[in-house]
Amino acid sequence: VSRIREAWSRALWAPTDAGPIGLLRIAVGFIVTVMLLERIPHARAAYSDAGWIPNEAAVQLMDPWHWSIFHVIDAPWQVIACLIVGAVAAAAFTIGRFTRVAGLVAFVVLSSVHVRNPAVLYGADSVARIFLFYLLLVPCGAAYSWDATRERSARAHAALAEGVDPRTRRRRVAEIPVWPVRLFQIQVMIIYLTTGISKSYGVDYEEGLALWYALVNPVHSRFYPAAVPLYEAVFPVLKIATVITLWWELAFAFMVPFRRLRTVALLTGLVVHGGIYFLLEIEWWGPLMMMSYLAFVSGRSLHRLGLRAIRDLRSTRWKNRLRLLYDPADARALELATRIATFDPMRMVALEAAPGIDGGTELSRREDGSAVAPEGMRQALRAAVPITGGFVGRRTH
Amino acid sequence: VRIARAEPSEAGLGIIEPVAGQPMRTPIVEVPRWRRGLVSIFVVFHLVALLWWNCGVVQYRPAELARPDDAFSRFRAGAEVVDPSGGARSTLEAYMRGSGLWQRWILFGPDAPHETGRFEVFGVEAVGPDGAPELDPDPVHTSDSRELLDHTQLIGLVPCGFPLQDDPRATFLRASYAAYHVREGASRRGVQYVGAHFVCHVRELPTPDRVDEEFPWRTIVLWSGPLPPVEGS
Repeated sequence: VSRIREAWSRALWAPTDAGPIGLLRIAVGFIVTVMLLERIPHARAAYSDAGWIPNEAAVQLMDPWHWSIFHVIDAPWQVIACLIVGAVAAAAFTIGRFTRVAGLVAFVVLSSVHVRNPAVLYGADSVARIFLFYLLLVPCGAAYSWDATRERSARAHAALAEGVDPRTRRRRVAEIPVWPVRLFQIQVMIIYLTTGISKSYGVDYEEGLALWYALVNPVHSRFYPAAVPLYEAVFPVLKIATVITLWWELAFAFMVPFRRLRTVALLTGLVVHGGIYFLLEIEWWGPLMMMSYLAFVSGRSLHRLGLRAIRDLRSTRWKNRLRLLYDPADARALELATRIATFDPMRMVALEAAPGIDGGTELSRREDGSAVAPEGMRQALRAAVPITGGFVGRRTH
Repeated sequence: VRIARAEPSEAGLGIIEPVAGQPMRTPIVEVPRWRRGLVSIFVVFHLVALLWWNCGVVQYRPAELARPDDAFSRFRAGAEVVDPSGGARSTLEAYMRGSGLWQRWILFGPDAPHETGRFEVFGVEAVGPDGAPELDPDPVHTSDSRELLDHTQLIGLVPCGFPLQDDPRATFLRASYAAYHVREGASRRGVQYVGAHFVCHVRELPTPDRVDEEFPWRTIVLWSGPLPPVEGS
């Protein structure tokens, strides 16, 4: 029993990198913000007592446990105000300011919108609501957020005051418990599995016609009618793509638990959803599902990608890195150094403590010690960095 | 189990590298025991509910109904005019009867719209005092309002939480939608209408071997009924 309990604890409470979930928060928060703003022009017709579903009917339409804030707030201006509040909260959630509270407010408003008028929803609405719910369970503001940046800035300030560049220290990766991430992953797997099973009932997928019908339907097709001759020419390809799509959806849940197959499943998903988004006008469905793949990506992979990008950037465009000397005793210089340390975690600009330094004197020497005309160096540097008292910069190779 | 340990390999970048050779146990986030218990209960409950609900979704379209045609044929199979007294909630029914929206309804027949392979355009027709219908030239929503309106639900394909497409609530949605269109049009134009039709113009989509063919449009009335006179007019 104790072994089972221990294994269960590990399954739920193992730490995982907060980075991918932080990016997922930004994506979902942005989409929810736009979804709420999109509804403002329709507030009167679809969500207010003056619209086509009066409040009394809206209450009766839904089951008793479905509650909406718009059952209480029903004047058109009140509905618009509430949508704006929801959108502002979703925007705060996106940038990671008061993440939990902002996410909760956005979730309440979004759910209220959905319950108030269920006739004007489509799949992506439900998916956005479900994703937002799961993100409320995760401390998703632990990475890539305003709040996390403020904390990092405070730590950087303290370290720089001691004359240490905090970015040269071993950084502790922001970690969160894994259980909400697992629930999120299971939800995504079930979405694909049930969708695949539903599609397998129809003959359109068996005959390979589903994609064709979507592409020649003027309601959805982005390039109708111009691209119809092209679709006709490549029909055999569309047929194969239709079958692959069905089998990929059915197999997704069984592929992602395994590392190698996971890569195949996710890459196929990117191609399928990216293709659908490019060829069909189905709004947010594709972007939401593609973003959900972040929950399946390890923080390590993301860091590696970032590291490779930085190395490429350094080798091609940033051969001459900038080294900045600052005086820890100078408040203005310390503040500037803190900002650099906070917003340049990749160390594109190196920081070096130089107590007692003065902007005018240090500029007079090159790295090899040879003298440089102060005025000429000053002009060259002025274009690159602001020079304040106690803070100067120089290029290094 | 050989497990990687979080070990930044390059200062400041937080790259995680496996520790060579040594098997390690997964570390656990330190939380109070009561919190672990609560989360465990929540996780188990959530997973059971998730699976239960989704099994319902999958079973919702029985294969024997769907197989002969496509995923939507379940709705065609049950395509009869429904007795409004069955299952309607009293208040809603009273509201609908009181507003005159329950007069006549046409649900899905054999020519039901929204199947794959069909192209639909929706419209609301206002019926003038002389009985002649006219298509609303300035609708509140059109079939192009993709960002908001999902017609599959408006015309009765399982609106969120409604168990059946022929649920009276689905009928009500179509009726109230059409009535709102016509009321708005009437107030904008200063005219009086006596009824509304919610119609769907349907055309078959071509198969790859019939691209050049012209398919005829057919009109399906999704809802039709009288409108109560506007107060003060």
